[in-house]
Amino acid sequence: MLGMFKAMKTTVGHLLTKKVTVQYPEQREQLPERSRGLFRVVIDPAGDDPRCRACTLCETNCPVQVIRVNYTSKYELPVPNEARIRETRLTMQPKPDLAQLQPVIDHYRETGTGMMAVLQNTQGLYGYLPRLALEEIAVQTGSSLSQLYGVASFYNQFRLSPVGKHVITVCHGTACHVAGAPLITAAFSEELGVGVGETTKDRLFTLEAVSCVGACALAPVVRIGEDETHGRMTPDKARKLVAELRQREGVT
Amino acid sequence: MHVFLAILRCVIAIVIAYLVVFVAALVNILFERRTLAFMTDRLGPNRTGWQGVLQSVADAFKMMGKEDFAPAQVDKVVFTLAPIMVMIGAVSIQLVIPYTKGWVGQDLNVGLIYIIAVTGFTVLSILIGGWASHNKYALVGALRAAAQMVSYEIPMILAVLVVAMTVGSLSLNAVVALQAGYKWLAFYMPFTLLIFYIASIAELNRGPFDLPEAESELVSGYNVEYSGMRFGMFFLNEYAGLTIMSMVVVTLFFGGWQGPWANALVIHRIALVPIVWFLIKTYVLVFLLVWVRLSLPRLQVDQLMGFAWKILIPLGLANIAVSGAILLWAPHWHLVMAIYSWVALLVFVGLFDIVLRWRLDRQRKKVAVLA
Amino acid sequence: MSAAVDRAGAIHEALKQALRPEGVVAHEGALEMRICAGTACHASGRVAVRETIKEELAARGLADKVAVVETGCHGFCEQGPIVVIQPKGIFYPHVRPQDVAAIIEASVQADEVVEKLLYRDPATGQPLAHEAEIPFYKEQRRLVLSLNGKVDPYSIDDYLTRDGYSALAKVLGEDDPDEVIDLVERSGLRGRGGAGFPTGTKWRFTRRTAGERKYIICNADEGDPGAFMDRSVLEGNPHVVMEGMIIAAFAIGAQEGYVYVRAEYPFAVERLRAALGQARERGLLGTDILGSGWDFDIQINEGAGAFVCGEETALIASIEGKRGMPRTRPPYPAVSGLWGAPTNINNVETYANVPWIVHNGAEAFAAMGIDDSRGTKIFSLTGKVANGGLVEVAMGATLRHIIFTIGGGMLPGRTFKAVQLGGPSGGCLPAEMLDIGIDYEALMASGAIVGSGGLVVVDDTNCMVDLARFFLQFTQDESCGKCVPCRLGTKRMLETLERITEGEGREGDIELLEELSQYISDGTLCALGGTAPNPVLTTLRYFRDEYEAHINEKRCPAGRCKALITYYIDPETCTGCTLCAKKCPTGVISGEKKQAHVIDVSGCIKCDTCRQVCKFGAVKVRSGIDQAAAVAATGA
Repeated sequence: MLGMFKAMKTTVGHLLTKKVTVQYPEQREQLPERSRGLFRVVIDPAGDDPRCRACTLCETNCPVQVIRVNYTSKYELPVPNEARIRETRLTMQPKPDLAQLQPVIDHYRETGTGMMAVLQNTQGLYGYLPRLALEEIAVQTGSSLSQLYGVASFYNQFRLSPVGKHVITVCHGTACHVAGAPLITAAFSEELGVGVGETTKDRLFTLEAVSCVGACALAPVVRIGEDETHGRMTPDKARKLVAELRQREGVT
Repeated sequence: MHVFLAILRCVIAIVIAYLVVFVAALVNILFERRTLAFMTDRLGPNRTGWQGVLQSVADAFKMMGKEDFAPAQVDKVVFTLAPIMVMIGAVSIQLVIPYTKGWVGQDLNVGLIYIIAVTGFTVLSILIGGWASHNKYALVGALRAAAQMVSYEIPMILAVLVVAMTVGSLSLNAVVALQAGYKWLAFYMPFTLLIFYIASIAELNRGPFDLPEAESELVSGYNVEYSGMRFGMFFLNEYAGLTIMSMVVVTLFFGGWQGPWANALVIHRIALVPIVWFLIKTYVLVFLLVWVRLSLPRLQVDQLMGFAWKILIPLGLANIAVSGAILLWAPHWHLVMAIYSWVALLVFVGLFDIVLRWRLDRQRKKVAVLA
Repeated sequence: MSAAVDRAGAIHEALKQALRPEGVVAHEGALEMRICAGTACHASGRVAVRETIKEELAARGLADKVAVVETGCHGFCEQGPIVVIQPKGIFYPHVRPQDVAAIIEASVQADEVVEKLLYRDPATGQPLAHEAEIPFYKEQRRLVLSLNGKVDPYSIDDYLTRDGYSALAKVLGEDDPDEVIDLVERSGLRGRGGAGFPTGTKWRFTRRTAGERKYIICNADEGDPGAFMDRSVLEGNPHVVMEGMIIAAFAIGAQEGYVYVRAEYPFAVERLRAALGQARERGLLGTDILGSGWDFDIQINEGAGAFVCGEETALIASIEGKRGMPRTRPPYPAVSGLWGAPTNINNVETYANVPWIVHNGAEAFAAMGIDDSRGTKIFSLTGKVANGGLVEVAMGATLRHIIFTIGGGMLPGRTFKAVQLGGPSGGCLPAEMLDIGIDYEALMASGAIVGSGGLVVVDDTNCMVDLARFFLQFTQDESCGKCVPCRLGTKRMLETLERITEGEGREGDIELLEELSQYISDGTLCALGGTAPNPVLTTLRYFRDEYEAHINEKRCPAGRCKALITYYIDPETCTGCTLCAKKCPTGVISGEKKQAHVIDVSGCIKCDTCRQVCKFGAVKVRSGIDQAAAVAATGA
């Protein structure tokens, strides 16, 4: 009973406290600093002086790269922030050739194989799953983009951003782990300057770790691309391998 | 002429009774929504009309505008009858409640019993509503509701009996008259008031006893197949019941229409000021009902029934025995009754927690031994 | 009756017609050089060896007399590239292109062996020329792997000449599906994917469920790291699996089959695809199989890198094109599986056993093994053993036999510490348990499981806590995230183990791990979560002292956990060759030429490079973080 009285005391205590209701639209909620909304760039309000100067700072600094500044100048001036734009656009996806995608989608329609095969074939074509390709698949097959992303993000194999020319895969299976795979991954990571799952800036190398490639007798195993497999690796050999690959590409 | 006047008086009384019920229902809905909102740091509906007073009216129009839909396999007569019948209880109780000095529908000399009897109509209409819905969940909900209401009528009766014994009559006017001069029965027998009040909350299917209509239980219970105005009737009846039951409690325990300046404004032998006191007291109790509903968690059906049969009824019976003994043999019955009742109230409130905790520990020990 | 006999006869005749003798690549008794073309040997450079062999044979004019056959995995993966000269069965391991000329001269043109290139028995040190003498092969009981290493997987005729598909013909001829199911039940075959559910019973359930459409799925998503049995069977002899699938489909009445292969097995996919094409051509798959009037076809679905898709309901979801998340069972796939139809899912190895059982009878199969575990099982023996590879033994063989007799014992200079069975779902057993016979029930009682058959041998330089952490990291990473106990529970266990291995273990951590394990295994939706705590539980059961050392004494007895070890150079042994100092990536080793070197412990990242490059074994690891003592020991 006493507990009930305590509950009742609490509720009646709130009778005269400040209310949290915001009487919209007369009052508006104060949005927190980092809240997101829909931003519109005011380029040229019906006034004399257009506000936007095409300084491209917004494009450079946008963390998700959704702004593109297109402009023409009557003066032959260099693009401001060109280097920074190039660097940030590096992670942007190049436009894929969607004509190549059509046979894949047709095959799916004819044979009714699962969506996985479509995604695998798309990745086989482009090396990763470009967003534009996924949108095309969504439109043509009638599944939603979110469903495709759901499947693509679930499986380790699917990559949603472009990869480097050489994909260095370190095997982290049991036998390889026991033989010292983490040390090899650390060596690669240090030598290339990227973490696991990341691509180097020059887009030449991607470092990945997988669970088991099935060559356990040769632990630890490193695979370059699809074909080259190197067994019995050591951190030293790893560094040498990177040097060799760099030499092959003509980079230091 | 007399016959004509009598009939006119009947008609006016009926109209007033229905008006009171409907207006009270609409007011209560808004009152509850606003109060609940305020107590939960919100504002509640305040846009329709000034401060939201037209909200209930808007809701009523909305409900009336809905399609009058009855599922194909229902028992058509009963299905239509149930919502119509449900208001009978609320309306009929007002026959015996004195609103002010000299103004009561009919001062029946079995007023108290009449009140108890008439609340049975609500039970009946809920039962037949659930049955007619041709839906097993509605039926189970209705049966539960009926079981609850019937079980809690008994403590109500037991408490009312004590009042009747004290007053020496079953007429409500007599009850109010006894409480003249601030000798409210609430001060003299708070324990009885507690029993009656808890029982009345359960009768109304309100507050912690609202199992039959809780949305998370049984898919909304007995009114699941009702929509539009049919549902509106059940809904309005429930809220009207708040006022009506509070009126009953006020009449029995809080002195009815009594208050200062009772004779200030009198029109046609009807004093107007006591109506204001009556309404104030009633709405204080309605507020209490809303407050209790907000603060306390819902009782489980076995806890609900257990509370009625194992706690309230034995206490009610003991209360009758002791009160009767005091009334019979104690000198200065007012004083002795007051002491006994307050002590009983405090002991009950205090021991309730302790006894429950002791029983829980004992049960846990028993389970731990088995494990 | 005679109609039935006619029908059987017609089917056998159709089978005979399917064989094209010109397609046979590996002939019994012919002079051939068989090169192992499994993934491991491929990685070791068999392509170069093959090309050199072809060149040398052409140069000697033997190109048309000696056949070069590329077979599937022989199983002795640590010894790759492997070349076997038939018909004598002369075995050459670790073949390099420069050895080819000598081998051809000696063993092909003449009747000799190149002794220095032969396999040496690690116990006696003696060279063993013939495959049949090598203990690794001799002690095995090769049933499923019988044709691995003997046939070219790209040639269906190789398989057909060796009684291939005759089990199918027999089954189709008798035309009695219930008899097939009875046979499999009597043989005692249990699912080889890990759970060990009686196969015949599963087939019976699927058969009994009413439904027009039924499916057969082969689970080749061998997700267990360290397991490669299914891969080798598919790469070496895909037809035996297909035959098993077709027989199973006939028994339960399915019309379509799927093989779900993980994408990380490109050779297996390629060979299986070729095999399916060939089978269709010869009338062994597709419409009207062998003229029996029954249709059945198989499709390949590739996985995409999710371990959880090895779980049957997650696999079904993946084939349906959804995220691979398990669902509640019942209903089991036998009642409602792929697209809601009754589905039978079995492992690759389970199907591969079926043709043998049909040929040789249930009693012969049941004659091998002990108690309720009958027949043989393939194990992939890896880790610190001398002879790692694929081992097929009868159930009931002891771990000691597998590791020490067949596997040749530990690598030189290492002591046995534990053997990890069954991958991330299994457990670690110490030396005291080595005499347990492999048996589903006995292993479960000891805390481990048979699982898919991975056996990883671990020595005293491996830390058991680190191993448990590794497995849990794997399971956590692969957890699909659907149910709370697995998603959150494994994460919390992983955090706890990471703390322990980084030296921040607290009092009560062991009890926490045990309690969490209980909740996780009770509450999860599928076996991934249910068996995820097993490595932790078994290491706690048998190696509790290591955990206590990590937590209470803050040291790693095996010298693995980086935060709990210190590298130091033994001044007595160090010759001052400066090699380690040159290779050290952080440059913390200092010292003059010919003087003992010193490691500055504060900058050491414990990458192990110095220890690996030191030719004198002067770099040592001490367990325990003891900077002052380390500095003092090096006399700096």
